[in-house]
Amino acid sequence: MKNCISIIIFILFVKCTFAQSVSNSLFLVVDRENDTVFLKGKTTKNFRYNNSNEKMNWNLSFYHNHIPNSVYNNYKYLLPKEMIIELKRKGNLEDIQLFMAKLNDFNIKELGQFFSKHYSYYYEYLEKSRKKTFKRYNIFIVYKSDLDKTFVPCYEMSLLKSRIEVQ
Amino acid sequence: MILSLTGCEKDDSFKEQAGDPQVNAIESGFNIEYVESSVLSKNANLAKQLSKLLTTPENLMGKGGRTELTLHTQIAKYISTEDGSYQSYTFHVSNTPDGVGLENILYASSDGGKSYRIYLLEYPYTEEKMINSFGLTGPFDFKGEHITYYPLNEEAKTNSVDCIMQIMTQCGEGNHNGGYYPDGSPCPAHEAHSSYLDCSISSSGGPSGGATGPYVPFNPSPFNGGGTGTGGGGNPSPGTEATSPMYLPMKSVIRKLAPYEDEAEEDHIKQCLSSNANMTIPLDMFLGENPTPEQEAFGKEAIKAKCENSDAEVEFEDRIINELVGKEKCLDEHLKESGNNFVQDLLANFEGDDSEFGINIKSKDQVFYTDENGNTLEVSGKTKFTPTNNIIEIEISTSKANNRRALQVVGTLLHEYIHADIFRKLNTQPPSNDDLIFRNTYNSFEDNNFEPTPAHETMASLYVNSMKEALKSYHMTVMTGDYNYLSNNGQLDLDNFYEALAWQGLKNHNVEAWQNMPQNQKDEIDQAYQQYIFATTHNCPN
Repeated sequence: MKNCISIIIFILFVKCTFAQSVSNSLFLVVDRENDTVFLKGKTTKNFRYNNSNEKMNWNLSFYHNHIPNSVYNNYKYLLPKEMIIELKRKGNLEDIQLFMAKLNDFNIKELGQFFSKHYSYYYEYLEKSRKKTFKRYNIFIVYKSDLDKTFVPCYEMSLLKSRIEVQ
Repeated sequence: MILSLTGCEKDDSFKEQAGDPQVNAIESGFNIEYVESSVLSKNANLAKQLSKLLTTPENLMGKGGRTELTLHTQIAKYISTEDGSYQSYTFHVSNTPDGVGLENILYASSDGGKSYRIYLLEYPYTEEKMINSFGLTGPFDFKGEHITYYPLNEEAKTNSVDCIMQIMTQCGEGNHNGGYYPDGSPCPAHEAHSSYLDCSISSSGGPSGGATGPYVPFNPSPFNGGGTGTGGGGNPSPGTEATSPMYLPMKSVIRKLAPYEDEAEEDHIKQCLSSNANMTIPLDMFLGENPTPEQEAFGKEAIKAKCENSDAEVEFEDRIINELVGKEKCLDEHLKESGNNFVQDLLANFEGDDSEFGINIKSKDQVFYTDENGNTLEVSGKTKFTPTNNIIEIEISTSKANNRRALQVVGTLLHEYIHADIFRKLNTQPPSNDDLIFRNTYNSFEDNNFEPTPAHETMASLYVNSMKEALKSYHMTVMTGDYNYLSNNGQLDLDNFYEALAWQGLKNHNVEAWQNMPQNQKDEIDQAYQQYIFATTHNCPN
């Protein structure tokens, strides 16, 4: 009986752990040998990845930021390697360049709608006792060089879209 | 080449100084720096003599078989004594004959700049060998080599010196360090305490002032009509003169800007640098020893800009490449120099070694924009951020600028500079807390799904008042006559007019801040615009 309860608890634990991997999450693999990541300083606390689409006139920037005492800081998850394998099996993890290629025909409005629809949520926080929100995305960057680690660092990314501005 | 005749105290510090004539030259009272043409032009006497040489290039010809030389006057190496009595300017020369080493034009004065002797100097090494051997600043050691001096004016005629340079290192007790007497014999341990560079005249010029053998102090006679020797001890001489090779360290820049996308890019950069040789020294100094990726990217962009447009002005410290022309250039210059500090403060965010972003602002005959629906529109200006090199490119339409009122063009310049600042704030790494708050504001407009761009929404809600104040200050201080006329010598309040100018390029995009403004206020602003704009001048003030 005791063993049975332990097994049930273990199964619940595993299920809960995997439940944290929401279905609308996206894990993008960056190969620093081939992909340009703008890294300031030697730490990975702040970096960005850019993709430009000249034909459709937009720039898409992914940011990971962590500065002291900011409410807008991004998360850094350490996910077990097994979970990364599972994410890949489910199609939530893919090469960043292949993913970007899928966006080529979007105009900037469609681009915004695509990310909002599939990956966004509103994060609530308190500021001076007032409830505020801002938009976050379940989008993470994973470095290819980290994929074999026991716990793989996954960097939550913020999104910024910009374009040529005219007067 | 440096001449430094310095009496040194007997000290162990000689060991550290040995073999560093550049340091010795500075310590012996010579200041060495680079000066740009804007500074040179303030020296009327030098400018006059330079102009004479440039307009009579035959003075340069026929010297040692030279048939085609180009004198580069945009930057010079300036060496002077503390009291300014001695001063020399060394200029780079290109198009030298095959097989000839680096050549310079030297202007040297010993009377505080009242008169200059002019020489064409030929060093024993090519520019490439100079860079390999001595780097950008030396020290330079031409021991045993010939340096040829061709006098180019009356004052310099008396002695053509064809000399052999030697670095005379310190003769201090316990420190031989390759030190020599002027006769070439090594320093004895007990001997005197001198630290200087010297050269001998191989053709004429016997010993003078006590110098032994064929050696006399460097280049004495043009100043002193006979020379003042230093003798074996090497005490400072009133005939002391210093110069130092001036070359354009292209190879150094090429090395620092590597790697290149491909061979074609490297070749293109080399070609551009060759045709814009005067930018190599300021560029090399800007890059420093370990340039950041952002410095490298800006350096490459600057080189390419100069290649396409030799009139492009590059301010390395400010990280701005300016290719504006005509009316918009004139108005832009006033904007940066006069009025309130809005633009200066904004552009200051791009300055400094830590700056990540550069601006390239340029004139184009016409500026077009194609929207997402494929419609092409002619616009007054546009701003584009290129993430791969962190350059923010601003294009200003010359045809639009020429047809518009001066204040409208100033409004466009402000508008585009603000776009540049918004791009900077959005992309700065790592961001400050304020940058993150700014990004959230920017993104909140994206979420509202309004038709205007988030940048225009952000500008409308955060910048309109600053633009209004900047335009007002510009009108009052730069276009004073126009302002006095329009305001009846300050009797009329034109604030609504300046606000209307600030809203141009925003309200037509239906930004939220304009939509939310009470109708009567919008009417007042529109009315002020129609009332005054056609009474303002088209012209840029002198």
